[in-house]
Amino acid sequence: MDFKEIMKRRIWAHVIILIISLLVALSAYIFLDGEMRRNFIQLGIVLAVVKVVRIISCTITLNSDEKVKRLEISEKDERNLSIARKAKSAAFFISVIAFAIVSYIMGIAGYSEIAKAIFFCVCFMLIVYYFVYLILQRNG
Amino acid sequence: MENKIRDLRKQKGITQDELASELEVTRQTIISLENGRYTASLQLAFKIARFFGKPIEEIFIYEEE
Repeated sequence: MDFKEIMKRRIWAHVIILIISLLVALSAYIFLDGEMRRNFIQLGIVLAVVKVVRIISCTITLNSDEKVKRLEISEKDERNLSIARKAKSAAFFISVIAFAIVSYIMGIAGYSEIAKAIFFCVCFMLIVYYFVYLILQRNG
Repeated sequence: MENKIRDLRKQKGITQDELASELEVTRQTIISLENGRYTASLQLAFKIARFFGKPIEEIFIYEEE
């Protein structure tokens, strides 16, 4: 698919998320109150601002063939992809270890329910990892 | 893995930017390749070999560990 077409689709995705963000903020304003109301309004507005910035930057890029080409090369560059894969892999294992430590500390501190919940999350992440690993090993 | 990309590029009289643009990779990738910090994929190795008009084994030197 032409990269410009991909960019256009991305802009549409940003527009959809922008609308959802505004709806979150609006519905929080109408239906909620107290701290929840403030939190959801803030979340919706922050997301909406981020999406507006992304839409503007994508539109500016889309108007310049050179910028589109540069972005395409940067996104398809095999070294960048390899770095992204390594970063994801490292992030996963660091998260698992960090969660395991937090679970242990929570357990010692007497928050056994939270410790249990975090422990099950860690177990779930590891099960998903091994499951995906087996699938990739079979099909890769 | 060592390679002769820098020498071949200089022989051809082109910049890292121009080579990157020809191979459709970033300039950072060319820098890493030339410094030996990154090993090209088979696909990129073929592209490089084709660009310089040389066989892969003349550009990339395989060293057994």
